[in-house]
Formats: sequence, structure tokens, C-alpha cells
Amino acid sequence: MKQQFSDAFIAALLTGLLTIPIIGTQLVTEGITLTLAWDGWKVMTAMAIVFVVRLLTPQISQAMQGVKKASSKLPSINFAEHQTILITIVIVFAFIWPFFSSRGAIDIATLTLIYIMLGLGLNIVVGFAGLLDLGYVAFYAVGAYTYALLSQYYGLSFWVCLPISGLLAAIFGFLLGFPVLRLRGDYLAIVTLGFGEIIRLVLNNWDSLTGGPDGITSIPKPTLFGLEFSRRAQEGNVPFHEFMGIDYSGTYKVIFLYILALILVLITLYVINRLVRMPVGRAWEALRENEIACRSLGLNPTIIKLSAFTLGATFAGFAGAFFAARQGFINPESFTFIESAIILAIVVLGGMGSQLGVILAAIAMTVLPELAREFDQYRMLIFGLVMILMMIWRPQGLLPAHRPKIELRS
Amino acid sequence: MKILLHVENLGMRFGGLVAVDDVSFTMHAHQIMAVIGPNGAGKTTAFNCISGFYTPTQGRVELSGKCISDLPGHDIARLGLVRTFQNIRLFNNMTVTENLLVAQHCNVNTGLLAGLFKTPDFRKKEKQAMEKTAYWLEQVGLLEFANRQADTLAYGQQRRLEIARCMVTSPKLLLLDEPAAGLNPNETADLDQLIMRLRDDHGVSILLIEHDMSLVMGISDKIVVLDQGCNIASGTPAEIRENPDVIRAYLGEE
Amino acid sequence: MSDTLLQFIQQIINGLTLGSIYALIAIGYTMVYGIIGMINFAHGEIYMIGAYIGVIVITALSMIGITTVPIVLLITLLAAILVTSAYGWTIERVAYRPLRKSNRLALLITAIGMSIFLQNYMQIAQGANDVALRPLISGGWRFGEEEGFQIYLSYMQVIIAVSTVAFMTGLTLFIGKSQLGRACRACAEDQKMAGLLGINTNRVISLTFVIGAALAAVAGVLVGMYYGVVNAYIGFLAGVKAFTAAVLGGIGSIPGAMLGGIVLGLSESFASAYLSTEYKDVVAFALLVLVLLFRPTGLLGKPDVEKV
Repeated sequence: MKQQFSDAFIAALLTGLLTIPIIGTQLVTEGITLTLAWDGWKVMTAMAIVFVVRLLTPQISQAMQGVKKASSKLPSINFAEHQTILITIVIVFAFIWPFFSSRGAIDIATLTLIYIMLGLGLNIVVGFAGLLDLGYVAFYAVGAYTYALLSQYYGLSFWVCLPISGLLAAIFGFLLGFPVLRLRGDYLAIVTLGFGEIIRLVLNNWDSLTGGPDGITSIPKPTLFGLEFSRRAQEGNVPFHEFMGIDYSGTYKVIFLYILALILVLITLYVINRLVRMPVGRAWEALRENEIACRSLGLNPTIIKLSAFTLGATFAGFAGAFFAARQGFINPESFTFIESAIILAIVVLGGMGSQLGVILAAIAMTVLPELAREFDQYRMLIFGLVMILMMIWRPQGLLPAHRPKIELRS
Repeated sequence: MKILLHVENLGMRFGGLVAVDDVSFTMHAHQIMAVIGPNGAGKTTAFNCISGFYTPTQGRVELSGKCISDLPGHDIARLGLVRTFQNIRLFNNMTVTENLLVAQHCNVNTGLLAGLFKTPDFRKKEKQAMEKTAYWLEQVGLLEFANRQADTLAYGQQRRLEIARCMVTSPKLLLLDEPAAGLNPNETADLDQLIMRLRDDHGVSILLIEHDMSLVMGISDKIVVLDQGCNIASGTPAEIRENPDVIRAYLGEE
Repeated sequence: MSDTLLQFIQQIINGLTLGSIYALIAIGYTMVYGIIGMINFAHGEIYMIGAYIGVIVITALSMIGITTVPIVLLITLLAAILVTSAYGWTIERVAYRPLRKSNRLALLITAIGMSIFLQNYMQIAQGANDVALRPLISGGWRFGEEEGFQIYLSYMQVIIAVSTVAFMTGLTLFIGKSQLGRACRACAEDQKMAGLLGINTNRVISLTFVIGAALAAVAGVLVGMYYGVVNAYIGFLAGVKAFTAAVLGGIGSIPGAMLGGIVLGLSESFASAYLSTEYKDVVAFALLVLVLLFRPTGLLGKPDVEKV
């Protein structure tokens, strides 16, 4: 008991040392003079909290063990028997839901769908092929700017640009991946980070092409067979509400975008589910397990990694084009390293290789901050903290992957 | 008989250390050849050079007349030279079946669209791969474990799995790195039989590194002896048994 | 002495100054990677904390009337080293040590999370805006004729160079000659063996983080004084650049970090002067990518062979 007391005391002192300058004092700029304001209470509170926590460490630790045991019993959910029915219900619900919801909620849902798509795409790279990619946002940016620029300079519609965005992102993925994928783990992560930043810096500085920091505005929304979702359509086009004979409502546009995003996500899910059952999916897993064995069997690691990298990039490209269409304007600020970190967090915290985990994590990442609007200032702080804590307490993620195994039937 | 593998003046040095020093030998088709020697003789290093995991610093390796010394491991595997490893390298978290399916990667339809839309060709090739998997699992006696995870198998079974995995690639030359290590006499006798069957029934040539002399003497057509990176003797098992240099290398000086 | 030559020399001066800062920060990356094979993503934030402490202490001292330069400098450096090392120590102890046995990705995620946490911690505590510090030391020497280009060597630049040399020498002596230094080297070579031989590896690892943090603190204080501006986000860019320097010189090698820092500083300075200022950050990233692609072991590193 005495040992714990002194441990807690030392921890509190350390906390004091850490917090006195940073939290205790505050730099205040009045005009051109810089002064220091002092707030002892915050320091005291911090020290007190640490003292108490450290003192109660054994009890907390026991509680944590209990939580850990409980959470390790959490699914690897095996819904196998009722899988098809459940999935159908969920999909039908997802399609119907927006017609009974508020505009704001649908908007957030659409944003969530974008992150789901990004998470699923990065999951291919990180979760399946085991490649640490910290520059995924670069492909997202390529997709977005492709649509923005093509529509600005050539007036091409969203539907034409969507596949082009994906293709261009794939090409970037191939070009970036080719020299880089033979690097091991950490180095690959840093190189991809470097590439991501280079692309952002180029987008930020190449004013003549990309508009620099101001970005590109007036990006048109997608149309439904030529029907626009605005109050008044452009020359020669008919607005959706006129065609349907109903009053204009901004909600239609929002619902349309949501449905579009939902379809894109469903396509993504289908493709990924096929991929893991195909030779290339098996190769990704084998490569992660034992690269040397793969080489000894004739598998070319670079090509296999490239396939994952390129496919992941393609999905980011699609997501980027959609993002540009939904926002109406883009600038390099939307494509910083933090975005890559967020998407990576979604994949890792959701459970690498697990689609359902990624979906849940993406929902948590977008919906929770909305629910706790007052804490907006602390959003990123909590995000960083969650990343740290998850790795300590549950590194396998919320829902560790439950890989479908191919069976030999006699 | 055709020359299958021709190794000429093979040398491998790591900085100042010479691991393999001017090793030469020739192997014919349908032969079983063993490479023996004390520990540290450079046997696995030579294997790594031949199979493309190291690039030899000197010398030349030819497979059926084609020079392979500067090719990477996966290209050499596609040419028909596959190998096993001293410390078994299975895909531990994949099933036995999946291990063999991955090995047939080069023979199935890996096209993206073919797989996404399950074209007839895709399905046919997958089916063929499954059949081959079943065949080879039966050959090595592991059919009942087909859907078990690879790392749940017993040690001896894992070794057999590694060999089966090599065989589904329809190789011409199989390099086995200490296949009998850790096996009991019964398992070694089974391995003996298996290797002979591979040569006799499936036309594969085998080059193996081994310490188990009974196995080596029993099945080899020819033996090459390495000591401290050099080739100190080669010949039939009978010749090697009598060779004074070999005896000295294993037992030391008088 | 022509103007072009003088401008060139000016760029060298600027480059060496910049390079010294990068070298100081790079040491932290290289030592940590050398001993536990981890890229401490949050190291840039440690530097940022050091910079803030510098500004805070200088401000505090000026508020109580202490303005004599050498004293202020000494106290600031000591305070920054003390607090920043405490942060470095705590971060390792709390976030990294529990993950010692985990895979690479988990450590990377934690480090990224720590980096994000620290950035926002500082932003919430001190505000998101830039903080401007009145220069403590200003002025310098000018060389050259009145009409032509004049080389300007500021006192601050000299202090940075001298401090860097002093701390680097101190570190090299410590690592090379002292018993603890030997322990550090042993752990970097073979941690398991060092542990078996009785070296307290946990303590050595903590020490590595502390040393790295201390040097980053020095860099932070000096940068705050040199540029006169700090904010919560200077850590990211400086961190990536310092990491580039570490890799460039050969990750795991202390002389490598110093060399890499100088090379990077000079490259950036020349690029900024002769190419374009906007793309100068691209230089660092491009250099990073090129080094990792073509010579990942760096200038002073040794290539390692894969064991099959």
C-alpha cells in the first residue's frame, strides 16, 4: 500500500512537471507583447486525477481484465446460417431509410458512406495485402481533381468522369507502387506518406492547373439520366422535380446523392467479396503469411502487391470523384496526411481485413463526433487517444477478420 | 540422359566470408542426388544460390541448358525448379487445401474480370486446381486434413504438406532442404518411399540436402560432399562411403 | 568576390543552420529506430513541445525581469530539456512499452495516434494560432562591400551551429566512452543478448528516448528564437524532414543523422534559393522517396542480407 502511495505520488509529480508549463501557463499575445497567464487549478486537477488513477491501478487493472475478457468474447461474429437474410434486410433498410429521415441525417450518412468506401479500399492494401500505406489520400485527391478538372475544362459529366477517375487513380497507384512495393514495412509507410505529401504540395502550388490553395469550385452534381436536382436546370435540361411533377425540395438532391453513394459502396463490397475468393486474394494472404515461400512457388511478390495497391487506389479514385461531386468544390486542404491517418485508423480500429469492422469503424468515426457536437474541439484529441488506447487494449480491432476458407469437398 | 541441372564454379561470398567456394556438379533427369557435408559446409547457401534466393557472386547455374544464375526465385520456380525449406515455410493460417491452391497460382485464371464474373474458363481452372489438390493430398496421405489449418498439423505431416505443395506446381526439379530433419525412423522410411515414388511415378528429379545417412545412402543415385564451401568429393554412395576425404571431413583428423 | 559567389556562401550558411536543426531532431529518430526498430512518429511533436517550452520560459523570465542573454539561454535550455525529456520518457513508458512485443503496424498506429494527440493537446492548451516571440538575440556580422551583396551571418546562426556541435560532440563521447553509452550500443546491436548479460534494457530504452527528446528540445528552443514563431503544427513537417535526414545518413547511425541533417539542410537551402521557395518542402519529400527507393540503408549504413 505504501509502495502504491509513493508510486502515485511520483506519477502526480511527473504530471505536474509535464503540465505546469503547457497547461498551467498560457501564452497571451497583447498587441506585440507576449505574456504568460497562470492557471494553477488545471495543473492541480491533472495531478489529482493522475494520483487517484495510479493509486487505484490494481482495481482498474482488474476491471480492465474483465472488460478484455468480455470483449474477446465479442464476435468474430459468425452469422453464417442467416447471413443472406440479414444482409438483404440491411440493404433494403438502407435504401428505404432516407425517405423517412431528415436532410441533415442523410447528409451525414452520405459522408459515412464515402469513408466506408475509402476504408474498404484501404483495407485491400493494408488488411489483405499487409502493405502499410500512409499516403492513401493521394489517390482520393487524384479521383477528386480528375472529375473537377475534366468537368471544368471539358464539361464532361459525372458519369463519364467516374470511371476515368478510377482509372487515373489506378494508374497513379501502379506508377507509385511499382518502385516502392519492394520496401519493407515501416519504410513503405514513410515513402507512401512522402508521395501523399508531394501530391498535396503539387496540387497546392500548381495554381494554373489546379487553382492552388483556392481549389476548384462549381463542380456539377451528378444527374439522373440527364435530370438535374436543382431548382432551375441549365440550358436544355429538365430539373428532376419538374419531370416528376412535384414541388422542388432540396432533400431530393440529398437523397439521390445518398442512394448513389450506397450503390457505389455495395458494388465495392461485392467486388471485395469476390476478390478474397479469387486466386489474387489467396495470393495476398499467402504473401502476408510467408513471402519467401511464395517466391519459391513462382509467385511474383511485386506484381501481387501491385495488384492490391492499384485496386485500392481505384476505389479511392471513385470515392474522390463522388466527394468532388457532392461538395461542389475541392481544395488541397481536404487531402492532408490527417485524412490518410483517419482512413488508416478506420481500417485498423475496425479490424484489418474485416469488412464489417471497417464499416462499423467508419460509422463510429463520422457519426459519433456529430452526436457530441459540443466536444468538437476535442474531436481530434480523442481520436488520437482512441488510436493509442485501442492498440494497447484491443490491437486486433473491433471485429477481427473472419476469413472465408476455401474447402475441399470429396 | 539429359542434363537437367548444371552447376559450374558456383561461389557465394558475404563480404569477407566465403560460404560457397567453386562448387561444380551436374545432375541428369530422373536422378536423385544428395548434397551432404558437416554443418556450415555451405549446403543451404548453395541451395539458395541455385533456387534464386541469393545471387551467386561467382559461377553459373543452368537448368535444362538455360542459364538461371541471375534470375529471381519466382522466375526459377516457374521454370520448374521448386524447393522446400530447412525451417518449414507453410502458410500457417491458411488451410492445407489453400496452401496447395496458392501454389497453383500460375496455373489458374488470375484475370480480374474473369474472377469477378466467374467466367467458364475461370471456373474450369479452379476446378482443375481443386482436383490436383485432392490428388496430391492423397499421394502424401493428408487428404483427411484437407480443411484443417496448416499449423495444426503434426511436424511430419507439415513436412509432407510442404512437399505436396511443391508437387502441385508440376516441377522438373525438386530441391529438398533437410526433409528428414526431426522425423522418427518410421516417418523417415515413409519419406524414403515418397521420394522414390516422386522420381519413378512422376518423373521428378530430386536434389536433397540431408544429414540422415541411411536415407541418403539408400535412395541417392549420386552424392556430392561439401566441406567449408568446397566440393571435396562426388560419386555413388558406395564410392563416397569409402572416400578418405569424406571420412576426415566428418570425423576430423586422426 | 562576385555577388553570385557571395550569395552561394549565404546559402551555405543558411543551409548549415537549417541542417544543424534537422541533425539535432534526427538523432532522436535514429537512436530510437536503432534500438527498438520503431519509427517514433511523435518525435516531431516532442520538438514542438520543446519549442513551446522555450518560448514560455523566455517569456516567464522576461516577466520577472531576467533578460541577460547567457542566463536566459542557459535556463531556457535546461528547462526545455528537463520538461521535454519528461514528455519523451512518459510517452515511451505509457504508450510504447506495453506494445514492445506487438507487430510493427500496432506501434506505428500508436505513434501516429500519439502525434495527433500531442498536436491537439498543445492546440487546446495554448491555442491554434501562431505565437510570436520577440527576438532575444538579434544582429550579426556582415561581409562584403556596401554596394554589392552582403553575406549576413547572424549571432543566432552561430549559436545554433555551436550548440549543435557541442551537443553532438557530447553525445558521441557519451555513446563512445561511457558505460551507459556502451550499454546503448549493446542494446542497439542485440537487445536480447544485452539483457541476458545483465543490462537493464528497459532503462536503456528509456534513456534513448530521453536523449532524443533532449536534443529535440534544444532544436525547438533554438528554432523558436531563430524564427520567432511557433505553433502546434510545426512538429509534423520538421519531423518528416528530420526523419528524411536520419534515413539519408543511414538509419540507426548517429554520425549518419548528423551527415543527413547537413545534406538535407543544404539541399533545401539551395532549392529554395535557386529553384523556388514554394516547392522547397517538396525537395525534402522527394529526397526522402529517392533515398528510400535507391539507397534505403543511407549514406553511412550497411546493406543487410535477407536470411532465407
